[in-house]
Amino acid sequence: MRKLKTVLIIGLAMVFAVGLSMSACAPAPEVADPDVGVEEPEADAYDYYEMLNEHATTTDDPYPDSPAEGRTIAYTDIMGGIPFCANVYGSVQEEWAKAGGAAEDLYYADNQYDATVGLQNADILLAREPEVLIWFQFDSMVNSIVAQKFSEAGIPIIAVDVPVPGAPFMGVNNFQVAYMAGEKAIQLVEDQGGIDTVDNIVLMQMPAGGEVTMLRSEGFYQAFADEYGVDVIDPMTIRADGGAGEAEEANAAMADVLASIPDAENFVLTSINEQTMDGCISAIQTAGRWDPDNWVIITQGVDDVGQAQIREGLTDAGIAYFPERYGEYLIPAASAFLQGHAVPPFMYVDNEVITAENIDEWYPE
Amino acid sequence: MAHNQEEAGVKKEKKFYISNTVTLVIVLIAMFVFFSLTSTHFLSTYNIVSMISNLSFMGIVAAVLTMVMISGEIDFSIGGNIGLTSVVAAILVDSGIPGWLVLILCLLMGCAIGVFNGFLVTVVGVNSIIATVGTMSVWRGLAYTFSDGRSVLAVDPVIDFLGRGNIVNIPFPIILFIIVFALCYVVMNQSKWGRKIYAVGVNPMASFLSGINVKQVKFLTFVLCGLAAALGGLILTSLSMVGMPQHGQGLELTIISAILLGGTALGGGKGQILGTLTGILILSVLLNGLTMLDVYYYHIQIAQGAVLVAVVATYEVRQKRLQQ
Repeated sequence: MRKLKTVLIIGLAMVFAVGLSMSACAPAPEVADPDVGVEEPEADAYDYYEMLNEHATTTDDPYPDSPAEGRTIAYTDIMGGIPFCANVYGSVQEEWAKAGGAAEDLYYADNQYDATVGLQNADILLAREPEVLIWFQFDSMVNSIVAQKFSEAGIPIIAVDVPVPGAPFMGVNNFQVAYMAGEKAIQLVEDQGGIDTVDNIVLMQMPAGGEVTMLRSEGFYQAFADEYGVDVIDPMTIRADGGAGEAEEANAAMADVLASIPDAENFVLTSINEQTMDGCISAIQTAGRWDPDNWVIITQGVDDVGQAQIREGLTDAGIAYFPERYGEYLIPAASAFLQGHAVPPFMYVDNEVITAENIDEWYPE
Repeated sequence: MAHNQEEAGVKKEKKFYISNTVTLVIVLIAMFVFFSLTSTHFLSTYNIVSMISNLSFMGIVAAVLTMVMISGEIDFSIGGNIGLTSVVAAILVDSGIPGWLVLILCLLMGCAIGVFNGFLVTVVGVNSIIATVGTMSVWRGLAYTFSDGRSVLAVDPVIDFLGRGNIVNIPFPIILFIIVFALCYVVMNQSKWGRKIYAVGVNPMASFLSGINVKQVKFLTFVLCGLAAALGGLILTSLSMVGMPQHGQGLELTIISAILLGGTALGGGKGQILGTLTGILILSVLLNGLTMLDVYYYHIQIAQGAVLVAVVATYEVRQKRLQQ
């Protein structure tokens, strides 16, 4: 028995030694360069994409010549089960059908805000050999290895909301939308008497979502810092970890924030999405500190939950990402790849500040 | 006559007795057949190899955590340990420290984490659930603190090889996975120390009275668990090329589910390394196969939970029948 154990341990040590020596000889892997693959195109190179994009945004008719017929693409969700993602996926499915694609040829996987799950999904989708990958995953650095794998397999990627090295990007500029939210909040603060009347600015963040997600609140802070100066804004800013984007943890975090500032009355509040804002508002009401006149609340996304919050007067405004329109950009881009045409390196959705005054214009009931 | 009948009855029981592990293997084979028939890409070499490669870091931790659980304890801090190791490894690589040294330092840190958990449980006497749920948050919090909540790129030939290298076309994580399982199997089934772990799990007091150093046995399983989790963290860092404080989040429940699925008792004293291997394979095959079929993740979770409950309930029913 002792001999067997000794042999096993020596075997283990040898495998490690061989492995490590081999690795030392191996060349360092190349980290995908964000600029590689995004070549400078000719002026009319994006005509095909732009034609399909315009078609998708202006009509419900099928795409000309059914560019997706008989082709396969894969789509990953950043976090299935929340309204924003459901809207994005619904839009992708709808446009895929308009492009002539069959439902079973649109492969789906849910990355669950989890890099480990994302890596597994990347491998599963590679095994299924789609012709284009639409990749929606929270961590831009993990996207490097995904880009490397799909590049080796010759499968083009379209990045959604979070950059993927070498891939065209579609979605929102997280810092820009947060800054927009900040500017709207500043306007409301000024309407209510200025920054001197505000006790605290609360940023309900999501560190678990990675750096890009953090920009959704840091951009908000930056707008205030630019307007009033860091010396004024820093002391009144509270950053809290609102969990993984769901209401429950945000509720607990907001309750803790309120308990830590018992004398504060006037607040500015933002969070990374409307589910977390739901949790925050619930905590404020539970604490008996809910008075809409004392709160300036701006949300991000304006999904179904966000629209309800604005209509019911729970929030002052939201920055609309129009997830229900993502497919109008993604499927034309995928179709362009499928037909051998170029895709623009950046496809931004136009964001809008949605308030009670204009919500019916954008989201008719 | 009655004695003969009883003997015949026993023989009859034995004749139809199938062990829990064999039952699991049958379930696993059935799942393989099902997914092979329903998905054209499931049985491809790429899919099978990448699936095992991706589960390897979980499997390594599960194998050693099985020993902890058989000894009657549990370690919930494995996920936090993985996150902390991942971040520390990436920061050290980023600061220019050679990969081999980073590897050693991180494994030593894993041991230190295990020593701390073992100390809390065996010396201070804190219940292992409470102790490791507490340290889970500590390791995770440290990971966020060290990384400032950011991902850190970890590119180094040695670290890269851990998760993405090959030896004779076999991914290195799979080789590590097989070695760790083989070692754990030998330890638990062929060695005195393995028998001590079972004995301690079944009855710590009787084990103590028969001369077994109960605290030492449990302490060592915690140290090994810390080491295995650190190795898992290094492999995950290599697989993702990134050190992330989020790495391993929620993994403790997946791994413990696989161990329970494999037939290990929460109360200790019962369990098999091969059962854990089959349990982790079942959960991974289920995730992989259902994802291949475009099933939503939350529906996959329902399936995984249902399989866990169904299999463990089957164990209990069979156990009761055998006792009767």
